[in-house]
Amino acid sequence: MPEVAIIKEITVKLAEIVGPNRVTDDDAACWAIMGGLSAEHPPISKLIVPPDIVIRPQSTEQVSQIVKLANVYKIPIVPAGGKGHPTAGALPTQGGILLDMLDMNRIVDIDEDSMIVTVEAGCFWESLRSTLAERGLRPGGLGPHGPVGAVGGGVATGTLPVDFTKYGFVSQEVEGLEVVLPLGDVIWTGSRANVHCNFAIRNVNGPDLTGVFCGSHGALGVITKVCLRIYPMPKWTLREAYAFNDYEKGLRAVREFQLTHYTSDTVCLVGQHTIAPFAPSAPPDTEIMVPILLEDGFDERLLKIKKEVCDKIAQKYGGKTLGSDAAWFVYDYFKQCHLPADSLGGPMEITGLKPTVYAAKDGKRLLEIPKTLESNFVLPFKNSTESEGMREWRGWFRALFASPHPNCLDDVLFMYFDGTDLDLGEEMLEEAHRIGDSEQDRGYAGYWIGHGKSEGMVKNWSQEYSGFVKLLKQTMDPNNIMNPGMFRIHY
Amino acid sequence: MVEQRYYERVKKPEDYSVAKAKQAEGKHPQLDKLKKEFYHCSRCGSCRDVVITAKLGEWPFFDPKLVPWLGPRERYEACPNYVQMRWDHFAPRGRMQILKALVEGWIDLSSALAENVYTCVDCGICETVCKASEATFGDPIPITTIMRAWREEIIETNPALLPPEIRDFLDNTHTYSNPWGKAKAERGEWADGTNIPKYKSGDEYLYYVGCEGSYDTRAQKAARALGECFLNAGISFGILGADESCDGGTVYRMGETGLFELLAEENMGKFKKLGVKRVVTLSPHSYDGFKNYYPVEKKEFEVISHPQLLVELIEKGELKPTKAVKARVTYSDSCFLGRYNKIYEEPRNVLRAIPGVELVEMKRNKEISYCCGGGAGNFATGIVDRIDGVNRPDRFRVREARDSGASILVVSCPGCLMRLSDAVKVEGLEGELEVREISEILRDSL
Repeated sequence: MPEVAIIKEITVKLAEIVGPNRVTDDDAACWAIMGGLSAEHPPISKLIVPPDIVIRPQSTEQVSQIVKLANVYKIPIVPAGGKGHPTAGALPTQGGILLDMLDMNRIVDIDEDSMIVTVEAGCFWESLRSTLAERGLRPGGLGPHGPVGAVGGGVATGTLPVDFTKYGFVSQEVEGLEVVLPLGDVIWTGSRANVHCNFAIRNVNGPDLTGVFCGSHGALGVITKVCLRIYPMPKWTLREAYAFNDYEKGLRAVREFQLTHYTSDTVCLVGQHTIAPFAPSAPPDTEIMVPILLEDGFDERLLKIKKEVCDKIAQKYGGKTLGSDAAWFVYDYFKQCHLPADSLGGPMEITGLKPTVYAAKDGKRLLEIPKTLESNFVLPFKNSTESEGMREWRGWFRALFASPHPNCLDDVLFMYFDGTDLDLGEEMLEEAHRIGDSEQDRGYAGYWIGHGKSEGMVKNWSQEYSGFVKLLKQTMDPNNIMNPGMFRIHY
Repeated sequence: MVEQRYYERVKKPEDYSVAKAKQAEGKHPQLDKLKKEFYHCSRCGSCRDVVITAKLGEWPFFDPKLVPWLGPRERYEACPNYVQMRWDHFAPRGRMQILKALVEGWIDLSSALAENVYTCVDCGICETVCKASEATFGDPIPITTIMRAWREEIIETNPALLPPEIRDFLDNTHTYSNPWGKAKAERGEWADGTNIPKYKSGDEYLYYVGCEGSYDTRAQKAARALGECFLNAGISFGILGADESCDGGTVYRMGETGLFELLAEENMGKFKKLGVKRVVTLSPHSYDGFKNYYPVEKKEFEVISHPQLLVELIEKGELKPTKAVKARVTYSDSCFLGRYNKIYEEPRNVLRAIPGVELVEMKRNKEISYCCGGGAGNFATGIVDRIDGVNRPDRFRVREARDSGASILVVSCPGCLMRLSDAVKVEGLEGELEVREISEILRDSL
């Protein structure tokens, strides 16, 4: 049967499941839905293609039926949330059905006794935050930056949320998942695997199968509901920024900040290029600037004590206090709007998590800007604030995000370019892949994998681990329909 | 059962190469001019789902200005088309992606795309809430300008794709100087039986009524009310009556640049001949057209919107609202007075000057006010209404007005008046909510 006829036939059958207004094979719709944040986008990406069909289910039952139908036709199916992933977690590599989960967006239950919230996968983090805030509550990590990240997407792609210095990865906050498996069966993980149980605890009922789906990028099933931990809202907050003229000392201070577990978020800006526009008051020899955010929910005096402890740590390593305004700008930028900036035109984030900031393999410092970047991405971040903005800008900036673990920092390199220059975009994306791959080759653990960084990650997996993941995928998804190509698994 | 694995023989990334994309260069001249702008869209989705830090000062725990991302915030679906359709291709960020696909040659202009672009009501909220400016220290994406260029591209390169309603709108405006194809001779009939005078040289103001106020029976009432306010104030003014032509503001927004230029030339010539120095408009679309699109070098008149003039007359004491209008009212900002021209306070000040009026705001007001759905010609073509009944912008807006607790929904645009009056009926809110033009409520208090 010609492919167009197959697509039409599948679309008609999908319409029987969700109704005719919730499924389309319109070309424009299929291109428009590609509007995620990733630079992995045709034509500069050699990985991604538009879907053939977009569908918006409203219930787990509908998702289950869609997945079952996809198995009949062996058509790929890619679940997508807010599509805010910087390296294409939720975009098709082979066409097929894009499952737009954003209409499954209810907050199902807020259990203030167990301090667990249950939401549908398409619920925006922003909606969740806001609804909880009305009750004086918050999720741990506040989800990804920007307004459009969905909870299911954050879990499925292994997102580091805002405030992750204190709360860790999104997946660390998950207590249970409802998942539609690749053959269409629906399961609950954790305590709710017990059909008589109505509360969510993760590490019970045998193996932690919740973790199987966290970071799986939709390759092992469609997450339809998520149970997350919630916390009381902090009543007092303080922010401060420190400037260090010695990179190594600055990082040691960061490590001690992490040890205290006082800071809810620590973003370290690296290099004058990056620091200057955020903190004009920073001394010119500043190599690393470390803003911190402190909060406390029970006693304001504790907050002041925490601040004194952090000040002492900074002083011990020669840090200079820059005041709260410098920190404010950084947090305002990163939390409120850094996400839109990330993908300006077609840029790229390259991220890696490191046991230290030195490569495990060669012991060399990572945070040097590669020479190849300097040639094409010559302008420092500062220029963007001095001219007409970043519209025609080619540049980069680099930051570290401190994780909850004192030996672990997330390194992020942002690259920007004028999106109309497709040749440069293609070149930049290749460079980004090369840098990402080389980081993996040097022993770093990549996160925010997406399709963009999957190759570098997979080629460094041990043979046994690769075999295990492939076996898992093959067993669960015999037709290889769930986000095929993810983790470079082909069968 | 399909035997062959479906996905092994369909789309492959190599089908979408940079080399292929470059072959499409130059096919869309109007869009190419704005390429840098829509490629600048970072696809963050703020235009679709805007987040507003709300309840400043009400947050019990700490100052939300300090940590605004932590406090409770209002989240709205910004784009009226997205609210109706819930598809990305009807939201601004999706449309920017479609434009990229167009200029890279992956898709072609089609009648469905033409309908899509005229479904956009040109309300401009996307541009107002675009985060590109905050994130990149530059300007927001000029989405409304891009959408206009897209319409222009269709008209210039493939007018056969235009929806019939758009063709009729433009043809009628060309032939009859109004979108409904009504007789030119009838244009001034709305003023029959009133004391509203014809403009004569030396009058201070030309009262430019526009197509809606001239021909639509509901909008005619507003036109008469505004004329009565001017008569009450004793200012020297007049109308052109049957000699009035379409201002072309909406035609410009619809992308028909040639027709707009014809109308602009005609109007500027007429105004010059009559010695017109100041024009006061009833329609914000006319105001926007005269103010922003008529060529500055040839324009020999000033333009003022009617709320601006009314509040000026009240402040000077030339209009004295004395009779109480005991009602709780809410004001729906016209997109073309508000977002396009930043006139937010003047109409509210008119209402505040009326004794007995209790002005309450809808949740969405001023910069993030929700559109009635009449822009880009939709007040006449109604293309936006084809899509969805319940969440039509006008029906959505009157529900918001009802939720504000107001019994009168005040507007300052004849297009809003037409659409929202209709929506009140469709929503079954007659007797609960009345839609009135600002001139009507002011006239009643004089």
